[in-house]
Amino acid sequence: MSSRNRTSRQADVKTSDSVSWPVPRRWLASMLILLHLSAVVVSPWSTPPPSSDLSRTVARFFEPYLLTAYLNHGYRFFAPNPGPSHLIRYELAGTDGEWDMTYRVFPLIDLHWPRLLYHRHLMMSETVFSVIGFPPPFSWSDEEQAAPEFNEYLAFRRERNQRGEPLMKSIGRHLQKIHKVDRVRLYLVEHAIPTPQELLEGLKLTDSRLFRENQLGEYSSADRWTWSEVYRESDPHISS
Amino acid sequence: MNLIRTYRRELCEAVRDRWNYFWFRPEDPATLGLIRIAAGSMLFYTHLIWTKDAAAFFGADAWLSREWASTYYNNSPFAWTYFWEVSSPLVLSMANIVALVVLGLYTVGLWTRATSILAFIITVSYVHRVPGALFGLDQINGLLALYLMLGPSGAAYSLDQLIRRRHNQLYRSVSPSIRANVAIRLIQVHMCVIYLFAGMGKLAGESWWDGTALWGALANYEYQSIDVTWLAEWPLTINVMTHLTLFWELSYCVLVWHRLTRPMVLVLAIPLHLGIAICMGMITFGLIMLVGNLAFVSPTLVRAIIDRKRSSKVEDGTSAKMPGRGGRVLKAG
Repeated sequence: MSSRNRTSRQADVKTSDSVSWPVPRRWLASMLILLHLSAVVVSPWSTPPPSSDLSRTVARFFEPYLLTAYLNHGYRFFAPNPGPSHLIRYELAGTDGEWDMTYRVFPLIDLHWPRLLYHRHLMMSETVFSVIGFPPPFSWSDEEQAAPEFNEYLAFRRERNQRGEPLMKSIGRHLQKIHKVDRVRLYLVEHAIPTPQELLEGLKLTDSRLFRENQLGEYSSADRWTWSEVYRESDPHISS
Repeated sequence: MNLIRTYRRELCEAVRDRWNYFWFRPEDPATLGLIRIAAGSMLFYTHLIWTKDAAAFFGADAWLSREWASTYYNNSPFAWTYFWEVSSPLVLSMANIVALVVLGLYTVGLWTRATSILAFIITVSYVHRVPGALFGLDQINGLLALYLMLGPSGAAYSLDQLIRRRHNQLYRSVSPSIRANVAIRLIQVHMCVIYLFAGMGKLAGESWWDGTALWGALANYEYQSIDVTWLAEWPLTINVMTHLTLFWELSYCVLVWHRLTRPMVLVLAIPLHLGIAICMGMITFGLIMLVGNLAFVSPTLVRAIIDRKRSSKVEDGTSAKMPGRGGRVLKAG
């Protein structure tokens, strides 16, 4: 190899990136960096609850970029408080109409392995909770039903049901197909966390008193989802 | 007036100089190369698990239907994914295999320029298809894939580099690169934003003030992978762990930039994230947060550890040599 070739090959190793950038390039890069970092900050700043009108307005400007680059996150890990976890219990019925009452639930550590797969299923049940939630654990009296709060609750329930129905149909359809059944009933289960004192007094983490559940509704093979009574807009929590 | 003008000029000059020094100085891509291997391995594993149950998550009758996923993003065209086009099981299987091959190549650093772009496309495509099954791991995977794509992540510790060396015996050193510095800086700043908002979000919760929050995390049966509820007998320990976690998260974005406090901040990250990994069953999340923290480890230290064998050859004048800045072991601000 001639010495000239050697020199040119060595020169190849050094690129324009290894020396100072020209001013216009630095200016352009600076603008892009500033825009990007603004988007990175705006996303958690505007993540509810709560968030200001200002932050949400600014976030709308950045939304296309945040979505495209998958940067639309709040980073509120275990905030504001580490809460109870949520599971989905389900029951199945074949074409004979008989309900199989076997206890089925997801996520299930023995079934969903490795741990990352289990966590995917846990996130789905948490998503159901975050989209649909639990209705208030009390009945609205006649007097309360006349108050504006009651109409607000009905609007809230209606909005949640509208958002939740495609999700419920999706999960119901998946379970119906893999179990080859006619109907699927879904339940939202909440598993509360005992206090240290309760545990020291002998309560187990799996004690039945730590669980509560609500029937979400029923999916049928006609691709129809029916909300259970407590999730309907006129539910038993509304006194008659 | 003169005083104000002088102050303004000095301020502008100082900001400009610090800005240029922070973002636009060439840096050894060793740290970026190490992050590529670690993040690439995690991306590979993440997608291997997606592939294990691909039909259930991406198939025609998936847990989360396309209709719902689209509704989740308000039908926004910016929530793009190539899975909208994938319907047949055969194409789905092929897409998964291709994704794994690309991520494997990316991890070992082969054709890194192309595979880093493809790795980002793959990562975002998967997560946009299953918005209800995601958690912190996916967020950090996404941002690392983005920044590794922007920087020369295959310039160090890669097959690309090995091949270049083989083809060119004179190729003894890796040039420091401004793009490598920009990519590392973006990861660093992003990690600060993450911890700051994670900490500020916790300030709204009373359990982070009364010191019981860690109990809520450790005694959660569905998360628990190691039973540490014996801590119920040690309430003050729970208090200390809770307050330390919150203080660490809130102060990270300040203390990590100073060379004297940086080692303490990074060392504390290890038990915090390994604790999440081991006790709460989120091994992947705990590890990927530590990968993000690697951005604060200087290339000098990375080379001191990884190139130990080679550095012994430096004395013979036969080893790869890095012409970057030396001295400080943790990347300076």
